[in-house]
Amino acid sequence: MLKLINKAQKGNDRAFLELFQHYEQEIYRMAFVYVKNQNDALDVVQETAYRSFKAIKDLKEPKYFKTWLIRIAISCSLDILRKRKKVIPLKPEFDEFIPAAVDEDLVSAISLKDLIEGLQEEEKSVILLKFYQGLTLKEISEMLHIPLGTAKTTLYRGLNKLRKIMEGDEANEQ
Amino acid sequence: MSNNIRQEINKIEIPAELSTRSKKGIERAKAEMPSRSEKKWYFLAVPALAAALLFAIAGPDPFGYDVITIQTSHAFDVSDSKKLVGWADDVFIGKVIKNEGTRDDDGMVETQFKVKVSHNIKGDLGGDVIVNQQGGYTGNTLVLVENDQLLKEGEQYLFITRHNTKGDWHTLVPVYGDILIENDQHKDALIAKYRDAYEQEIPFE
Repeated sequence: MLKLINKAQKGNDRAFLELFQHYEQEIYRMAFVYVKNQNDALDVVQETAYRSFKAIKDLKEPKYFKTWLIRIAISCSLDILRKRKKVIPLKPEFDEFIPAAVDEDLVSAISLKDLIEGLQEEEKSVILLKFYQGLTLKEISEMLHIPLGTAKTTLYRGLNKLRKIMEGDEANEQ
Repeated sequence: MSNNIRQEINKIEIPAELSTRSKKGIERAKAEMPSRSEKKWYFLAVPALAAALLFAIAGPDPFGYDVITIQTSHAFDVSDSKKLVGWADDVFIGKVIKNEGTRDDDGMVETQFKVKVSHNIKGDLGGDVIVNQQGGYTGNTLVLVENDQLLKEGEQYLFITRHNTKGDWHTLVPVYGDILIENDQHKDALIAKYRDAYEQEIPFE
């Protein structure tokens, strides 16, 4: 992997394509959660490939290649949403409930639809990075350039929203 | 627990064109970069043009054309197969199907050929590709680069090329990048030689 990164940093597009293709499916799926449709998610993948290949020569720490790539993909997703005016600015809410630990029952019951429809972009970022990419909150805060406290708050706010959605679903079912 | 979120996200279907879109993004970035390919051919072509001013007329060929041979200089030793393969995008065996004509958009006459790829050593070309060779006929003159004879229709060659993304063709290296295959034994020997070279390739810095 490091050899491929090294080649890509010297401008070898084939090496970069090989690298990129390791992650393109993950990038596509993450993008889909943000942009909610196939065409836009494909645009995100193409734009991520474009931006990352142009910038890879400046990547200082090849071991963080994937993290770096995912950050570009998130940035591309948010840019596409901004361009298409689909972003609703986040209105900070009072953190009425911040649990000490993640509610495992809740997380295990979350559906794709809830993730896509129920969360704002910041919350999607933290939840995707935490549960899809397996990053720690500290890594997430570094990746998104936000304070650790903000990462925690955003995570729990997102989970709380999902809980409410699911409680509503259950009530409707009854 | 996190596996559930992962499982949910993995339900998102992957469209067939995903890889194509990745390639497009990379190709666009490459086209905007001062690509090695362009720098290289600039390096090859400009000295070639300069040398053309001091051309050597080798005399008329059997068909009455004046033959001009021009010399190029290279940034590395192209006779070193490991370096040459390291620099190339593709190394492959192919049969020349048809001469597609000449172009001189870059101030240097070039001839393009349709080639049917039969075996890849480096890269993954398939079907018919366009191979671009520096040199060709212009007016009553045949220009040859380093006396590299023009490809012949119906013949098989080992090609060592760089991909031109803008034109989507594959420009060969004069002399060392178009080796005429004499027979199957020769072909096998070339494949073995260049497969080894690929395994030990020296990337162009």
